[in-house]
Amino acid sequence: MQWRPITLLLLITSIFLTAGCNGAFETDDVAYILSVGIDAAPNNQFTITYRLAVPVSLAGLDPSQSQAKKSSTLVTLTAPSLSEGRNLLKSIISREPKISQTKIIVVSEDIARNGLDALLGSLTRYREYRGTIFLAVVRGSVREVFEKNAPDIDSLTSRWVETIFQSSNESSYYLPADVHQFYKRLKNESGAPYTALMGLNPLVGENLTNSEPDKDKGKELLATQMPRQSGNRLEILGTAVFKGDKLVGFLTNKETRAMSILLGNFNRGFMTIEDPLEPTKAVNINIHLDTKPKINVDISRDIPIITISISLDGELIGIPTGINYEAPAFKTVLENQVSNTIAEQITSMLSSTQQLGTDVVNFGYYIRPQFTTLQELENYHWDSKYPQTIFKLEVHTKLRQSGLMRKTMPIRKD
Amino acid sequence: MKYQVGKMGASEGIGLTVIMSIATIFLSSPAFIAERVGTLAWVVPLVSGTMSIIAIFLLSHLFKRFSGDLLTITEQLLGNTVGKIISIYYMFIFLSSAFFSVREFSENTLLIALPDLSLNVAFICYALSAAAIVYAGIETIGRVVYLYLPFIMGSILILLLAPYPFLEFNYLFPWQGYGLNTLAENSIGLAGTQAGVIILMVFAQSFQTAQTIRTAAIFAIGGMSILHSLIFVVIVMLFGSKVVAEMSLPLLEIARMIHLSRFFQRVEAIYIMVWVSVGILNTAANLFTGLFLLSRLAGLPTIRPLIPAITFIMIELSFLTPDITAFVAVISKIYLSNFFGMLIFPIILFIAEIIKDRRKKSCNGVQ
Repeated sequence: MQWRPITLLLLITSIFLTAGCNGAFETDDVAYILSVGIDAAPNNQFTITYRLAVPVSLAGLDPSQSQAKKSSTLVTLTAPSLSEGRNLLKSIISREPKISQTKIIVVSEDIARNGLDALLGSLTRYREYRGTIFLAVVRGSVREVFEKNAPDIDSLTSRWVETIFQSSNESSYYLPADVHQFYKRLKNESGAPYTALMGLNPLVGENLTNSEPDKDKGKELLATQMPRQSGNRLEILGTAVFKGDKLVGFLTNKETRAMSILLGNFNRGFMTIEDPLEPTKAVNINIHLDTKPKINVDISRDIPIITISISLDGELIGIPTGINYEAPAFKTVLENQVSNTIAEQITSMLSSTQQLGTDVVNFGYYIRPQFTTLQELENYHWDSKYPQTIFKLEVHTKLRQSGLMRKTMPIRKD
Repeated sequence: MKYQVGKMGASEGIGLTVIMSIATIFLSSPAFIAERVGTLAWVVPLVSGTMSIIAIFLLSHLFKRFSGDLLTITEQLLGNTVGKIISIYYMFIFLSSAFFSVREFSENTLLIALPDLSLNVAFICYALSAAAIVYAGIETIGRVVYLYLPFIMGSILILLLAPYPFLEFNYLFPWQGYGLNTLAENSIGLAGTQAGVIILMVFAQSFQTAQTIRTAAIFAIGGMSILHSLIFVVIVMLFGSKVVAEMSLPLLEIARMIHLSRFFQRVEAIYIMVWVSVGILNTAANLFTGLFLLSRLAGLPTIRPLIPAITFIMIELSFLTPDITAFVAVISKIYLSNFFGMLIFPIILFIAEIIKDRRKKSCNGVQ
C-alpha cells in the first residue's frame, strides 16, 4: 500500500510542525513588557517607560517574600514612536521584548491633550497589541508614576493591573477603559472615548478634610487629591474624557460614579449622605442599580430631549443619629434624600460633559434605531447636538434592606 | 486513480459544500461586506445563500432530465463549444480559488501565528498538504470535512458566544445600513464568493440522486448562510460597522477580544487550529475540482499526473502579487466576477432546457 509511507511521512512531519518548534520562544528567551508608560519629550518625541517582568525573581520564593520591585524592572528611553522604542529597548536587554502580555498603556496628560491618534494606529494594527489592554491617563509624569507605584498586597504588576481594574465596580470611582472600547467609540458614530485617571498622591493629607457641606458628605476628588498620609502613592480616581482622540477634561470620582450608573454597569457603592432629619450628621448606605437605567432620546425637535429613569436599590449600613429610618414613614424621607443626592451628582456630571462637548455616557447609542440609514445618522451630527440637549431625570430609590438590624433603639441616656 | 468516484451521499455533499463556502469567513470577506453594506451586513449571507440554493435547485432539475456531469449537460444544452467555454470558466473559478486560498491563508498564518516563517515555506506547506489530500479523492475530502464539521462549528460558536459581555445591540442600527439598494447590489454581487458550492453540480453524477444534491444544498448552504449571518451580527455588535470595515481578519479579532476571566482569555489558538485545517481542505477541494474539470475537458481518464504540475503552478502563481493588500484587491474583483458562475450560467442552462423542451414538444406536435 503506497498510502502507508505517505501517511507515515505526513504524520512525522506534523509532529515537528504542530509542536510549535518553528517560531517558538522559551520563556527564558523573552522579556515580557507588562506595562508601557508614555510621556511627552522635546521635538515631538516620546519618553517611553517599559515595565518588564523578571520571572526568575519569583521562582522558588515563598509568595510572601516576593515583592513587586523584584518581580519587574523599569527601562525608560526616548524615541519618536512605540515601534522605535521597542527597537531601542532590544539594545538594552538581552531577551526579545514581547508586548503580547502587556496589561496597560498609560499616557501623560500632555500627550493625551495633543491627541492619541499617533499611538492608536499601531495599537490596533500590530498583532501583539490587543483590544483588552487597559488605557489610562496620568496627571503628571508617567515615568514617576511607574517608579513610585509600589503595591503592597499584589506582588505581580500584571496581577495588580488586572485586579484593580476588574474590581473597579466595587466603588465605581474609576472605570476601566481598554483599547477596544476607546477605539470603538472613536470610530463609530456615537459616544466619546474615556479612560481611567491616575496620579501620584503627595501623601501630605494630614490636615486636609474629606467632607463637604453637601448632601453627599464625601468630597469630589480627582487622582492626586485624596487626603491621605500613607499607602501606595499611586491612586486611580476619576475619569479622563476625550473629544475625538484629544483629552478635554476630567470627571471627579462622584461624577464617574454617576456616569457608571448611566452606563448601567454600576455594581455597588457606599454613600455617606446628610441625615435628612439631622443635617449635621450622616447616614451610610450601600446602593446598587435595581435595573438598567431607562434612557429615551427624543430627537423629533431641534434640541434633543433625553429622559432618564434610574431605579436604585439600597441597604442601610449605619445610622449614627439613631433615628428609626427602618420605619416606613422615615424610610421614605431617607429614600428621597438618596435619590436627590444621586440626581444632583448625575446632573453635575451631565453638565460637565455638555460643557466639554463629549458624550461619554454614549447617549448617541440610543438614537441609532431612530435612523433608517447610516448616512442619515452621520448627517444628524449627534456630537454637535449633545451640548444643547435637555435632560429630564428621575431617580427612584428603594431601601429594601436594613442590614442585620431591623430597627434602631435609642442610646440609653443617664 | 480515476476521477469518476463512487456514489456520494448527502453527508459528503454537505462536507464539500461547507468547505467551499466557509473559507471566506476566516479571511477579509466580512470586512469588505461590512464596508459596503454597513449595519445590514448580516442580511447579505441570507440573500446570497438563498440565491445560491435556488441556483443549485435549477441545476439539479436539469440532472433529473439529463444524465452526466456539468460538462456533458452544458454541451447537450448549449452545444460543444459553448459547453467547453463554460466548463473552462468553472475550471478557472476552482483553480483560481485554490491559488488564492494558498496565498491568503499563508500570508495570514504568518501575520497571526508564525511571523518568523518564510512566506515561501508557508506556500509550500499549504500547497503540498492540499496536493497530498487531493490524492485521497473528493469523496474522502467530503467525508473528512463532514466528520470535522462539529469541531469547526463548535469552535466558531464558542467564538461567537464568548464575547457576549461586550456586545451592544444598537450597533446593528440604523437597520438599513447604507441603504437597501446597496444591500441588493452587494447581495447579488457577493453571491460570487459562494461560487464554490457549484461543486455539487460538478460532481452531480457521483451523488446518489438529484434529491441528495438538494438535501446537501439546503443543509450546507442554508447552515453556512445562517452562520455567516450570525458572525456579522456578532462582529457588528462587538466593534461597530466602521471598525469592522478596517479589519483584515474580523473573525480573528473576535477571538482576540475574548476575555471572560483571568483563566479564559487568549483563545485564538482554537481559531488558528481550525483556520489552518479549513484552509488546507478548502485548497484541496478547489484543486481537485479544477483538476477534474481540466481532465474532463482534455478527455483524460485520470487526474493523478496533473496533481504535481498544477500544484507547482499554484505555488508559482501565489507569488504573483507583491503584497497582500494588492492581492486582496485582485481577488475581491475576481470573486465578484464569479457571480456569473454562481447565478447567471445556472439560469442560462435552465432557460436553455425549457426552450429545448418546448421545441421538442412542438416537434412532436408537428409529427
